[in-house]
Amino acid sequence: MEEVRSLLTAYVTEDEPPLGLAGDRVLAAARRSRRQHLLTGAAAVAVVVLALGLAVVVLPDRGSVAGPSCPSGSTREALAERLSCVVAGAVRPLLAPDARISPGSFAVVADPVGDAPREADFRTHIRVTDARGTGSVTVVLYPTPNSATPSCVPGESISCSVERLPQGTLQLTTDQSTGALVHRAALSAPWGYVAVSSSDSGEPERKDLHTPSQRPEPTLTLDQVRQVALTPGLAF
Amino acid sequence: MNLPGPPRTNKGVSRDVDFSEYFAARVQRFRRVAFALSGDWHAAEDLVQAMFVQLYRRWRRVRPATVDAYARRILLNLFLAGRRGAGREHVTPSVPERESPPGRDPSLRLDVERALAGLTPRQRAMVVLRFLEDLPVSEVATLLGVAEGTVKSQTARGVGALRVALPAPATEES
Repeated sequence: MEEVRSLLTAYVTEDEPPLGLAGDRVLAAARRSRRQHLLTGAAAVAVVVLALGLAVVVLPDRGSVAGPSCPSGSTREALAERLSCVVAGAVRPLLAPDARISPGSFAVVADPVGDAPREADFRTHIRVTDARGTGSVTVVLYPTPNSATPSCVPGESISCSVERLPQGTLQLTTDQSTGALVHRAALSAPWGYVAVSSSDSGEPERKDLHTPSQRPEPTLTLDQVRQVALTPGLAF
Repeated sequence: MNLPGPPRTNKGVSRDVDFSEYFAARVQRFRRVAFALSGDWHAAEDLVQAMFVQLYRRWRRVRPATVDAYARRILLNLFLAGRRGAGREHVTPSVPERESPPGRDPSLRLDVERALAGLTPRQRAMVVLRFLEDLPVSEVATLLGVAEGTVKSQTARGVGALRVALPAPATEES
């Protein structure tokens, strides 16, 4: 292999032109390049910081949409699990410290109405028992557009009001037509429909059936029901 | 030989002095390697300048013991990236006629150029690193990210092509 080495060495040394590179010019070019490199890096960092800052300022509620601990996923089971987490995060802080819930969790159940994971009626009914008696909280979600529109027909035992909000149309109702007093907030939004109700009875509402009152007032006030209905994490 | 390397202090002036000393000590050697890779002195100087510019960015962080290897890696990457960029360039074994200094065999030089031009960029890089830079097979394999066996087989092909340019029949490597 020596002959190959000699051949290559001769190839690069014989007929070698004078060096055209000057140290000071290369150093100056290197300095310029380094400066530009640092500036580009700094600009990239600034853009990222700016974007994060904007995200924090412009989307202040997004951080608490579902809470960082709520799971995500695209299957129907994962959606139900996420909604359970969101409902628990929204309702639990509003209950009395001594309140006991039945079942033991805010489990949301999905009743399929189509093949896609979101094509389902998601609902949960929680009995809440505290020192004042037993009441309940019910959440119903139809995550398909135009799936339901709340109607407001005031009567002897029903009062209602309607709010036009950026999220959609919100109807607040206080209903005692079946015996128990029920506060209800129903939001009809572009993404679908959510209704949150709270009753002074632990029994689920049944149309035309008398529901016994089991505490002096519903578990949640009308304002609290409204607050839960507008929880951003409920929106699909 | 005590070659200058990256500074052990963080002072910018010291950095530039050390870098300039390293440039002066190494520029010719790297220019020859770049010429052996590219076959063109202008392209070789462009490659070497780009190499030193990139090296300067990392000058503080490169250890003195590895600065040559790091510089060589930059040079090789620049060469291979440039060849990829010129992927549709037609490579021909024929080279332009040039005047040769008196007393030299111009046909030998042309034969070497033809032999090198007939190699793929990676084969050429392997031959140059093995026989001009005297790097062991393992280091060439690491630099090019290939197996040692690949370096051996590709280098053998390159050497076979170069032997055609030898003035007399060469003996096999023992």
